[in-house]
Amino acid sequence: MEGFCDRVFLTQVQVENIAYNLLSIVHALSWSIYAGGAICMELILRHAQEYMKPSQIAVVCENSGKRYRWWSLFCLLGLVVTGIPLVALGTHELGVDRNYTVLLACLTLLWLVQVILLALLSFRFHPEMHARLSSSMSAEEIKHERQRVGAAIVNMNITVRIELGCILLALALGAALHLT
Amino acid sequence: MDWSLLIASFIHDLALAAYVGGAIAMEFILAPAQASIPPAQAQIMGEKSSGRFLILVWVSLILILLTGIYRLYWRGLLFGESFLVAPLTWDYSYGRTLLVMTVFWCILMINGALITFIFRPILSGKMQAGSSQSQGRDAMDAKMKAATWVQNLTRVDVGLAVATILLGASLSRGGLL
Repeated sequence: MEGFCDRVFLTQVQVENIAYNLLSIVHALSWSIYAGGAICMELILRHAQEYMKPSQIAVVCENSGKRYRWWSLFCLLGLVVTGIPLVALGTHELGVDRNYTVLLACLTLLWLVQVILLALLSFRFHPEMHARLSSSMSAEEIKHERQRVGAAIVNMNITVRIELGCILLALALGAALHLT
Repeated sequence: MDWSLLIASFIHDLALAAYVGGAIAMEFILAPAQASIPPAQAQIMGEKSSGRFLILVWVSLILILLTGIYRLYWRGLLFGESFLVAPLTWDYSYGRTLLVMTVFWCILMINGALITFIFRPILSGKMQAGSSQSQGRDAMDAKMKAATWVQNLTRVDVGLAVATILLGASLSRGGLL
């Protein structure tokens, strides 16, 4: 790396600055898309759904939910992939600076919670939301199936709101981290 | 730690995330979902979601400006011995980067105003009873043009917002330009 730097006339500090800037950019972009996407889904999509037919809500939910979860996954990966080297390149020393270490531990914990919530949404609640009705089912079975879907929708709403709360908390902790 | 600065930073980050993430979600998540339902329902969804998104855009842009000014003032870079205090001047990378971010913010405001006050009223305009066929065709053409403008302006906004984040992230190490 030093040989390469000498050839293109970059000092070690300049290379570190460029790397730090690039990582910061991807990190900022990841949390912006992640947080803004969640806010948009809650404030905009939910509002629009109130004026739509239930059958169309299901189609929109399935389509947008699938895309949203992929975007969330890439953003969460982007956060951790850039976050670790940013900590390594930063000026704070882990363990020495107590406030910084505690804030970073809380943010790591929140990241893990977000991953778990995303996994729950993707593999548990979202698949459960689709009703499996057939003409051979009895009235009791249809009623049971509808109750199951209703419960899944409630679980989904609760999980999405917990996710949004965690995002707001993470944003506040992130702001505090930059001020330490 | 100064609590007012922390709150201002939190609101600044939140507003920026709401703007950028919202714009990207509208373009890459809601728009494809809208295309998957019948046109009549898609129109309702488009009207309601864009109406709410415009409120989010205006609130975010105003909060970004106010909290941004407060953060600079708190750091002693604004309204000190002079209006702009070094390194918030053209001689420094920090100042140049921030100036470009301010220009981008102005363009986003202008685009927001164009969409809100010019193109959206055209799009939500209803045909009056007794209109002739040519009037109907003209109104439809105007709507199509307005929709294309809104789409292009929204794409420009997404690009500018992402570029602003790129510039903003570089400020922690003295700026990019």
